[in-house]
Amino acid sequence: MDTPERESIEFDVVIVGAGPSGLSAACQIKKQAAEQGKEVNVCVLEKGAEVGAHIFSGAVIETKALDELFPTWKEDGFALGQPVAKDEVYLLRDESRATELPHWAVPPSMHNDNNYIVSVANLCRWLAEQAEELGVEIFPGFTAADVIFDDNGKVCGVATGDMGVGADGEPGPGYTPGMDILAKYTILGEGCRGHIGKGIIKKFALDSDADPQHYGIGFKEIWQVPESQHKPGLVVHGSGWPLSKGMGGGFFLYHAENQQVFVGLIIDLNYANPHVSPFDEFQRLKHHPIIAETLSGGERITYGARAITKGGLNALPKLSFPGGMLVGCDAGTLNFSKIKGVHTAMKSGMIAADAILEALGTDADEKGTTNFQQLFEQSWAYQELYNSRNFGPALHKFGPIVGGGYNWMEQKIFGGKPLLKLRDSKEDYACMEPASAHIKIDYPKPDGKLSFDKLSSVYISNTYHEEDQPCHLKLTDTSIPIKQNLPRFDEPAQRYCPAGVYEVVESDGEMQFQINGQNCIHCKTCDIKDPAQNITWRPPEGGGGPTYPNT
Amino acid sequence: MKTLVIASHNNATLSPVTLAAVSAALKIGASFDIFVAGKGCAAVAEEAAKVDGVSAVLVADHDALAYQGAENLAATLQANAEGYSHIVAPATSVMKDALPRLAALLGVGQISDITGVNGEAEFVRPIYAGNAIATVTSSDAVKVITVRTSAFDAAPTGAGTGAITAVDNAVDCGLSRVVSEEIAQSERPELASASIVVSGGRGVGSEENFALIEKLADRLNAALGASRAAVDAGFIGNDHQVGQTGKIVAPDLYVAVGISGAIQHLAGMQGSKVIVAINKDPDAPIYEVADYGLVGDLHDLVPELEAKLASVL
Repeated sequence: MDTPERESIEFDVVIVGAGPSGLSAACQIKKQAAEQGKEVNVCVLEKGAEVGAHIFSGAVIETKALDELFPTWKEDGFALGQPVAKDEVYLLRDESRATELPHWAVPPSMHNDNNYIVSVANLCRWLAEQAEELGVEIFPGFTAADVIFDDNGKVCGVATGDMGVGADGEPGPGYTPGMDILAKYTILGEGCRGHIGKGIIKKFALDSDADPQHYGIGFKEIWQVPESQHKPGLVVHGSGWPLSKGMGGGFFLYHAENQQVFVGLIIDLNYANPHVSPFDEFQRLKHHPIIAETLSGGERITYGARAITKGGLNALPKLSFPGGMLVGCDAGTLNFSKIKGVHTAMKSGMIAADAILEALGTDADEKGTTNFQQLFEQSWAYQELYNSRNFGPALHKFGPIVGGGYNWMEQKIFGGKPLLKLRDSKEDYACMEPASAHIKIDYPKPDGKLSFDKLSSVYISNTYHEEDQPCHLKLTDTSIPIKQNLPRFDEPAQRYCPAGVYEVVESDGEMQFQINGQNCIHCKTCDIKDPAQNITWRPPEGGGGPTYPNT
Repeated sequence: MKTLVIASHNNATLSPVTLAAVSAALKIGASFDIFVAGKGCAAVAEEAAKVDGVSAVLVADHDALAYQGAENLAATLQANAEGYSHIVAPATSVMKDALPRLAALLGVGQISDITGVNGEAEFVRPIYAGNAIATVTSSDAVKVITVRTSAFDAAPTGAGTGAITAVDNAVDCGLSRVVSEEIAQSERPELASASIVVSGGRGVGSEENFALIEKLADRLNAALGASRAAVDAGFIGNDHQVGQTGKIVAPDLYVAVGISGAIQHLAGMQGSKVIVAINKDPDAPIYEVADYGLVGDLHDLVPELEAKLASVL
């Protein structure tokens, strides 16, 4: 069958991902170009069906970067979100008791005065509107499937994914080949564990001098709660139960606008016990009185999950490569001590924009090099990462109590100057221990009021993928799940996937590894946590995946 | 205000899904005509004329419309759209191909897959794969609408006395032609419109065991359905899949065998009038929506049920 030839379009800059980092870069390029009297064509590719569909975050944000990018955002009428009114921090002792940390004992990085509880998805929708008004072309429903290299090994753009390929891999009736989006500079803003970023980091050995990157999985639900239980502006954080010893992480409960609360749990993905089910940890967390007293009688509206890049400065790779750069969580700009990554992601995008504008039209274009690395190291975003570089490693090394105390000391007594250089050099996936070394966890059954089962949770993430397409989750060795992971780790994919994609089923007397690609909510946890590193996440056909509302 | 209902048919008989579109038209409230486009479709026109309340039946009988190809059908409808405020069709594959083109030719938006009518300009339709229900209003001069057929009862027929008129302005765009037709042969009723559906799930266990489900379906003269798990496991082809990403059905009787009742499956069949579930897990969520439930091993129960039915049916 004659398949149509691939077309190509040329831009000055192509940005992968309509997230806070990518959109900030797009806006900054256009704004600065206009000021400098230059003409710069920018396009943004977004695999979600609309901008915001795949954006998933807590979130309490600092407006520092937004204030720089759009100084009059407030006067112009942008309703950013709910201003923070109060901070509370708890240590959950067990399923019913909690201790509140007094204000002075909370590390300063976790005070939220002047911050906002926002929907980052809605923030991105607003940024996209500004970007389009500035002349940026945004293409939702299009994946950046692969990078394009020129003959000198420089990145010269991305190839969008083919559409209409059948499950057998052959072109179907609606087959449309992807396009080559060629650009002088490619900005990778795919978020945590972007598949293109992962490949580029490996290809150019960008992480050769860094510690391995560390990740968490973040769950979140949006609940509509009774008015009497809603305290707008209240920000609650905490740690402890139900996470067992050795498991890092913490919960959040944010009282947003419209009588909605954002409740979630982040679990570090370096946990050792293969029987852990992060989903079930989150579901049972909600039964704790500190959370249940807010949620009871309410209605669950949305559910989702996404992996988080939390390695901080020690795990930050080199950011530039010939022809482009990594920004936001694709690089790892999240400030873990504040558990905030949006402001630093936005700033990294803005700096990338400045670096590109400086380079465009000069000899640098040939090699695709910019001053991005140097400019980033001079920024307040880098300074934040520098000051907080030990926060994550302290918690990993010393646990939540001593680690927390170490961080408090570093911040309060030593004014934020890191005392030591704490290293955290074991890869998350390598931390998993054999199933035989741990006791199986008997999670409680969901009660259908506060806690729910996985499938009905995936249902309210509004996830949909075109039925007839190849499975986007690739196994390097198809025998490993049953022959290796199952006996050694009781195939933990069945548990760490928040969407029930992976199952071990008995068929005709044999155990088989079933991949329900349709359920995938694009969180990337499997790519990170598979002990055999055998699963590679690739983007499914554009437009598929979750459709998050105001997450 | 006047409505044109586009008939779904095979040139020999009128498909019952047309009557669902007529029900939607009745809710819109205006008088309605039925448009029959095809080749040698006089018998279909006769049936359409008998639909209760129909004013007129317009027939475009032409070679170019033999297979109701989208280009020719849309162009022909455009030529005949004058004077109608609403154009309504059942959401079949043929109509989902032709109606958007008609809407574009008429310069209006299409209101797709409606499940409810609130008025002549306000409709209800599912979005986000059925996870949310949207109420939409249209201010277009002509409302081009496709109707989710499982959401509307069949309108009454038999007492109608519509006047049949032939129209001579069928359009042949000459852009494409049907080369051949391969019709999937099945003696069973079609899944989307059957009044009884028997579905098998993961619990059936194998392709061979699915024969038990088929036997029960045959005994009840039912259509054959399956859950996604059964399809993914290879027990049966995906044209039998019922659920959020398969077919949405609302039969009089739905028998779910070895199906857990995950919400993704329920999304495809919870509109069924009576639901019967057979599963060995007493905690399976299917029992929360089932009117009758049997807990036990389907490999014993299904043959037992089929044998008992054989003696009474």
